[in-house]
Amino acid sequence: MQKIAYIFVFLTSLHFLPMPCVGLEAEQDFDALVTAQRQTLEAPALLSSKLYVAEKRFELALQMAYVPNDDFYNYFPIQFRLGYHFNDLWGLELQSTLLLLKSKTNLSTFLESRSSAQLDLEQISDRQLARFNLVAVFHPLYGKWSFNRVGLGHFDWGVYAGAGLVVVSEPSSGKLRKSARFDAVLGSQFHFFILPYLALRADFAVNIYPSFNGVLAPCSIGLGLSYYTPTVP
Amino acid sequence: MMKITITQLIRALLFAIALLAFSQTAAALTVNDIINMASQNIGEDAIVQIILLSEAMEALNDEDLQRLRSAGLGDKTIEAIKSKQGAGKAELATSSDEISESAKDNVLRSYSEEPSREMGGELEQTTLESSHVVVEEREVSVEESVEENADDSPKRANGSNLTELHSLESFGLVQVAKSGNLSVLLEKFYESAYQSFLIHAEVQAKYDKLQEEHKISVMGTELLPELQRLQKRIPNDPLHALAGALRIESEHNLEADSMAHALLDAIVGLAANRLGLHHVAAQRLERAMWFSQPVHHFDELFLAYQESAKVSAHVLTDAEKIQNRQNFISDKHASSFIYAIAYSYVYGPHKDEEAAFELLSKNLGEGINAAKALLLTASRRILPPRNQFKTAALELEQATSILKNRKGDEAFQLLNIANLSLARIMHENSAHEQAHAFYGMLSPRSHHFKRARLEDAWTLYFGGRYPEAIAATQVFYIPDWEKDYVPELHIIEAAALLKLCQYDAATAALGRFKAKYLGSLQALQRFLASTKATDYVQQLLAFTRDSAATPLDSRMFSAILQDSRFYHAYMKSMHMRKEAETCRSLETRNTALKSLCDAYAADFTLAKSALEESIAVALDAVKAEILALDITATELSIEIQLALRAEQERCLQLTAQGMSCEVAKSVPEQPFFITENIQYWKFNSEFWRDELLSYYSRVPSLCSASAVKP
Repeated sequence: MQKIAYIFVFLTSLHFLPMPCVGLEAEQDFDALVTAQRQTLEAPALLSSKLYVAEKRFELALQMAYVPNDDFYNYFPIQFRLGYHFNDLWGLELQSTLLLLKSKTNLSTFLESRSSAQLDLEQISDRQLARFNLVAVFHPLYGKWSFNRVGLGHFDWGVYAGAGLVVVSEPSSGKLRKSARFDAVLGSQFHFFILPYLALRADFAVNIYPSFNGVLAPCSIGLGLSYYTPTVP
Repeated sequence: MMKITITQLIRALLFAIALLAFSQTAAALTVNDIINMASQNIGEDAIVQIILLSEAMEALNDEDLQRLRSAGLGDKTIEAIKSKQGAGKAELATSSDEISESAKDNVLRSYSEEPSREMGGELEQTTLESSHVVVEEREVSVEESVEENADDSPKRANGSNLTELHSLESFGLVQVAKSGNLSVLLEKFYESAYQSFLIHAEVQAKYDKLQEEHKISVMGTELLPELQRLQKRIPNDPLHALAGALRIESEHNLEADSMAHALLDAIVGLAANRLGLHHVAAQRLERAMWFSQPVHHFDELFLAYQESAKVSAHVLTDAEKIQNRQNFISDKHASSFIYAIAYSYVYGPHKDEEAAFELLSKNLGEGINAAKALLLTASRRILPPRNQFKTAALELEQATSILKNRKGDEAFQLLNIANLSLARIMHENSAHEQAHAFYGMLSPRSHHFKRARLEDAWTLYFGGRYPEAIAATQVFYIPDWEKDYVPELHIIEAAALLKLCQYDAATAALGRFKAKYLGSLQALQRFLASTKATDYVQQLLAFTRDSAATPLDSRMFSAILQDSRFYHAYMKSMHMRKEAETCRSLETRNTALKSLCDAYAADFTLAKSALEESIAVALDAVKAEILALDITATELSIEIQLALRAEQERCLQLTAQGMSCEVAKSVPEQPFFITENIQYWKFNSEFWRDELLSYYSRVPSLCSASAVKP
């Protein structure tokens, strides 16, 4: 009983302490705070929040691209992007690309002109039709730029990496068939902000996939527009 | 100046003492010696020969004569003795009374014995005779062994080699004794003894001269070997060295300017420095540097002192004494040394600014110390009664030219301080344009940047550049800085806007002041009423973790942090607390540190009290400042009202004359621009570090805009 009384008295006395209990961490924090008063400041380049904020916003993008390094076709893909930015640095993006527009390369034309018989390019190479990827986006850079002293613009730059599927048309036993192959992607993107919800988007990506004829790594350079939805809580 | 190391001095001293002791036991020929010789059946002719060859002989009295005659010695001997009286060295004869009779008897007896026993007898006797020499020399041997080998093995410390050194053999007597020619033997013996006396006298005289010249104290000399051993342990085991030194200190009361005392301070200081106990290290290292004799590790002492003094904010307590040691420091560290002395002349307990100026007038080269010296002198020149602004400005410009070429944080900070000082000098002398230029040189990364922006705003205001004064205040709207304590901010805004006849905007600025700072003042008064001074620190800590947990207001918190008295008191208290904790943890490993740790605890209590006082002073200053600015705000408010009334009256007069009057409206939002060279763009709420000095305001003056439309 006496012990309980002591505990009660002790606990009650805590309420009358003149101040809250402060731990060692507070002491260390305060030490650092006071010390910083006379130190060179670690002032970041941007001392306030960003004017163009991507955090907790969806980004919808449409862009035209060009794949310059395929041997037989010059592709002009149409790219759709749907991304969500968890914060200013990280986000996820769903990428879909339709490779419907294409033209023959000089090599293809050359081969066709020199071929005695009718050359079917699709029998010697695969043809990309579409690709779908899910990528993680990392945007470490946000800055301002000016061109020839004309106003001031803002941009951000990031990299992304992910994987998905590429749908190709490829020869198989003298016939053509469509197949889906694993596709990895590494890329980099710029946003040049025009309005708080609109940005010019430039994109460069390298896709890597195993074709029937070995591993291929088509590159794409894209340019389009991004629209940012209002903040999603 | 003659340089002699302490080790050399001690060696010479002890060697001289040994020689003296030997000479005292062997140099003089006494009546007893003669009687002893006679009792050993040495012939009277031989004895006479010995007497005649001896250097001195004591005076004979009647009793001696009787003893000689009873020993069987005749007139020949007595005549020989008388012939030597007064011709020799009286001092030798008289000193013979002090000789150990038995020892001398043994020596003489041994020579008359069989050659086969002589060697053993001699060595044994020599050891006996110079037994105290061996003891003394053992100290030297320990010292030597410390120097050569920190292991300090007891084997090396027994001094056996020294026994041989001072044996008769070393005087060339053994070989002669073997020849049996006793007269030659004794002749050589006394000759050697006399020579040793002369050597001793010479060494003693030199030593006395040295002692007289350098006022050196021999007190605690016997501790030197042990202290040197501890000193050598500092790099690898500073705790052991510190504990050992503290133990010796508690057991001996050493004279202030003795080698032992200086070495003790050096050990405590250097070991404490290595253990992070900078408070005690700085004090002890300064004391170690007080020692009047040059020591080979003076540079090491000073560098360690510099490090510890920087951490513990220690200022030399006796600048004059340290200044007298200027010759001991190497050229490499001379400029730092001079600066430290000059600094203590300015900020130490014994202030003597003239001495500081004289010291700093020396050429300190082109290094950072030269810049610091220029900053120090400039900072004193501008104060009354000197008021030497021009010279100060020149010195500061010289300092900036040095600092611009140097890298590192210290140079960066000093450069900013120099520019700020130049700006302030210009401002004080109403050179507003130049002041503005210098304020603009402060980097946004300098901790003086905010203060500089505020002062720049005042400079621009006094220079009549009101829109720019408003623009200079823009940085305080950086979100993270908005909770800073800057009560003048809105006063400057209001004053500048009033000058631009922007009455509504000026009133709004005053409203911001009242809303922010009068509210904070109330919070402060509540805090002061509800909190004891002893709880201030705890309240600050609590605020750091949770600002809502205390009655403190964020601006008051910021005001305390900005206060320089608080800063210095807190830094001192913080280091004291950390060092006291370190000391306690070291004490668990070595209890010899207990008294030191107790002293730390006491010092920490004092530092804490000083800290609480500084907080109270800071809060009082804040209170006084806000109240004073409130009066200014009220005055501005009255001016605004008067201006508005005058404008209305003017309007009424115009209306009465049949003209229309339109009072120009204030600009509701102040459009800010960022200017870089010839381009500019509208401020868009982003605060970029590189733009902070480029704000430009286009707030128009409405003073001439009270449009009068007929």
